[in-house]
Amino acid sequence: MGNYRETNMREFIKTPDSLGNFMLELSKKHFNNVEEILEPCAGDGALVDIIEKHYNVPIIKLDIQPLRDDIKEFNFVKDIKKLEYKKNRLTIMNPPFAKSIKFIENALKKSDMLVTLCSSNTLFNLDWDKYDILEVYYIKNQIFGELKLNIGLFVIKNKSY
Amino acid sequence: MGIFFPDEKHMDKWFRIIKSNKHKNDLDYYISRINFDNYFIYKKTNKQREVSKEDFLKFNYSGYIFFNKIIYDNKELQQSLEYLWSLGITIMYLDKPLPRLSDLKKIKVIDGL
Repeated sequence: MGNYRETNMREFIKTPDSLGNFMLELSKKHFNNVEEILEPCAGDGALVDIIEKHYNVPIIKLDIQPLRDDIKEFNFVKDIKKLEYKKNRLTIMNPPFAKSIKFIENALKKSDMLVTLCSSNTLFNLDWDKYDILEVYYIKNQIFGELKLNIGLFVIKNKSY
Repeated sequence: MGIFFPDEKHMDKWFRIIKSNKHKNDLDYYISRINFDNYFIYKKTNKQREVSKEDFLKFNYSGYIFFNKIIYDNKELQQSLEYLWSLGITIMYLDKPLPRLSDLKKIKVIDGL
């Protein structure tokens, strides 16, 4: 699924502005003590640009294959131990859908607050008992470039937070 | 094509049995390991539904998921699936037990943005 980069076929789906703005509305609604934001699959920076319009806090921008100079190369699955946890950090992301669950689990190890897109199937395969699920959306017929998909969106915080 | 069959240590709560290119043994090889009295069985793809032991043995679908009767509530699972279908939500692969029905009612369905 998704668009693929010619270089290594890694899954890449650009976040549409409308969806990004909706994610930021939800983060503002639920989280009012954000001191830092993590975007671990920043790609071409589409979601980063939207985050910067809504928050005036430091943003950690990472991607396994950055498409912009201000995004640091980092494998959020394999290198996760190299990233430190920080209190009052919010993660906002549109991860590779095939790895949604791993990205969600890792995000909630390194931050306490999360707004994420995911595959529709991930909605039902995540362990809901493990986290405090604040909002869940099933978005029908979302357009990603030339694709039309049913997708999921979670707003989550750690139970301990 | 064979099937993927779980280790015995993974069979206490729920487990999946699926067709697999990576495995050589067929269902007959494993069948004696299943105590069918302990589980209810669902086909795991598309419109999920409970199947009988006899239907399972025909293995007409790509995969099945077994739930321990003592731990999981078959009636609630059916109600959960019907609730999701009523919202227009279909689950492509039922890969594990669903969240509780009370939790599933948190899901808001919206059209693409």
